[in-house]
Amino acid sequence: MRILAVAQNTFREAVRDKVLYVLLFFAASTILGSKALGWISIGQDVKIVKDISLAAVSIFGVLIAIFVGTSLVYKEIDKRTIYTIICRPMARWEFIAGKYLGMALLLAIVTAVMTLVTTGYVLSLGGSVDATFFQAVLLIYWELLLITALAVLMSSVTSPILGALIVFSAFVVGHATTILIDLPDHFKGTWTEFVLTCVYYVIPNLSNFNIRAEAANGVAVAPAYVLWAMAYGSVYTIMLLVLASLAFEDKDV
Amino acid sequence: MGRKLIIAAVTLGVAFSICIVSQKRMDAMRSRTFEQELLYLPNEKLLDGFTAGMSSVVADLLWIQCIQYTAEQFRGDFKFVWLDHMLKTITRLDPYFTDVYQWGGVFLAMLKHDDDASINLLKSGIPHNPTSWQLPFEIARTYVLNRKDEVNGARYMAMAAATGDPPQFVIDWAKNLQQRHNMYDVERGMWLDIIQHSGDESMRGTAQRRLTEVDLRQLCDALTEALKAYSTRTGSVPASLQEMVDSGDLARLPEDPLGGSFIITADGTVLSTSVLDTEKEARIRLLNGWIEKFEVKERRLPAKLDELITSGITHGLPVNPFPGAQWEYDPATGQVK
Repeated sequence: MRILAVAQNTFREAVRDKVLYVLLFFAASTILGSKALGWISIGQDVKIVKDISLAAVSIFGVLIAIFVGTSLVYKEIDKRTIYTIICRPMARWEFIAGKYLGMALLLAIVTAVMTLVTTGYVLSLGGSVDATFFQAVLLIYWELLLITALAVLMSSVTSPILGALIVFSAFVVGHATTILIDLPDHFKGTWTEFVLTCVYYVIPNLSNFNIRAEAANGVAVAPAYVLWAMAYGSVYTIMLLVLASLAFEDKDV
Repeated sequence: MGRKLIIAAVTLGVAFSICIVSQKRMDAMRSRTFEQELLYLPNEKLLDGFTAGMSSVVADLLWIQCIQYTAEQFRGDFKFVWLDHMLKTITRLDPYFTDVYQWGGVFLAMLKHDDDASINLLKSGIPHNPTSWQLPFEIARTYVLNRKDEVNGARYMAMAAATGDPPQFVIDWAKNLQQRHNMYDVERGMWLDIIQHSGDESMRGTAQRRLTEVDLRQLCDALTEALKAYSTRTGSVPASLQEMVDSGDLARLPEDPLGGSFIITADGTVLSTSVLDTEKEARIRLLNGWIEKFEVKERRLPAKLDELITSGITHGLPVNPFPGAQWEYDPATGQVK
């Protein structure tokens, strides 16, 4: 109940944030403007519109998660509004969980709105959307949940600007982790290979959530893959939230 | 207030004009050809890793640049030096982008006259797009038209005819090439290879059926030859194969492992209903796909199948493979039977 109250309050606060609407405006402009690129292709308009729209859902979702998420806890401490909360009979982990759930709800609504705009636009262009398209959106949302958990962790330990930089770097690196294990032959059996393999397993592999090429090209994806990716994302998210709770537990506010 | 607005508008207009002029100057000073720009195109492996999950969008942008590069080379020195590299990069970033394999294959074979690069690009796309008939079709076309190699052309045309929903002309071309080069063994080997090596269960099932159909088609050819001998001797076409068994021209009635039967056409050709069923299903899928396209374009279902031609969806309708049979089209549901 206490968690839900914090979640509700976080959601209300985030909805009032102007940054959200600026990002949503740019997302909608990108989606609707993607047709311009289709004009100079050789009949691949709908594929290009789908590609750019799904990329917009992902990148603007990540930007919202970063800009709103990294200031969630920090702002409460900075404005000293945290005192009115922690003096109540409420565990600190409950506060973190509530903050996270509020952001998760906001992102669910933002993702749903952007998906609705994309679907309507693709259909109006004479294209079609299949199950893989919605699987891709689901995995984008799951990736956003993980990014938000990282943003909440950063919000508990550092300033919003530094937190935003770290989360955005993690987003870029998380999509490039395969290069850590794709080493030339002369690295076989060396310590470098061992260390890089360890790093590969520690950094969340965000490319697991990327089935956008399949969705844009209408290639079917096994539901079991989607479930595995969701399980992978959920475990990382829980780990990050536990770390965020521990960090906030020890924080002197 | 009005004066302030006018001053602001004039200031903005002047500033914007200066921006355009300076941009044009800088463009002229820094103008690089596509060739120079492509020197900076990074290795596709590196590009894949650092696009932050946007590899598919980067592939789209590169594809548009590739079209412009091809057009520029077409009007210019006709060398297409970087075309192969660009196409490989795009298909590495988005391996399901079938248009790039197809058009890229055409550009390489027809414009750059690099058949090997064209065939290699198209072959690299087949494992990622096993239901796209266009890729083996373009390979076959390159073999037949550029290399005058009908044997390999027939192999890939057979693959195209058995993949996805190919149009009628592909099926007919495959059949003609196969008959000219007695390609049954080659086709059989191709399906056996898929049965043994494909990880996709439905692909293996389809290959198993196609393998049986190859046997049936070969059997039909042999029966047609026996029927011709019977007709030459007796001066008439038998009404059924039983007549040939009774006359001793056939040892026994052949069996169809797929549960179909054998029919004799008016011109004395023996056909298997199982093979015809597969062809019929493929053509129905094709027709239904065109009807869907018509519905999207015209916002209504066609009243007659001929409307698919008049609306420009297709140049011609496939015939029902069963001799004398016509398509049954229901304009209320938009389905062909």
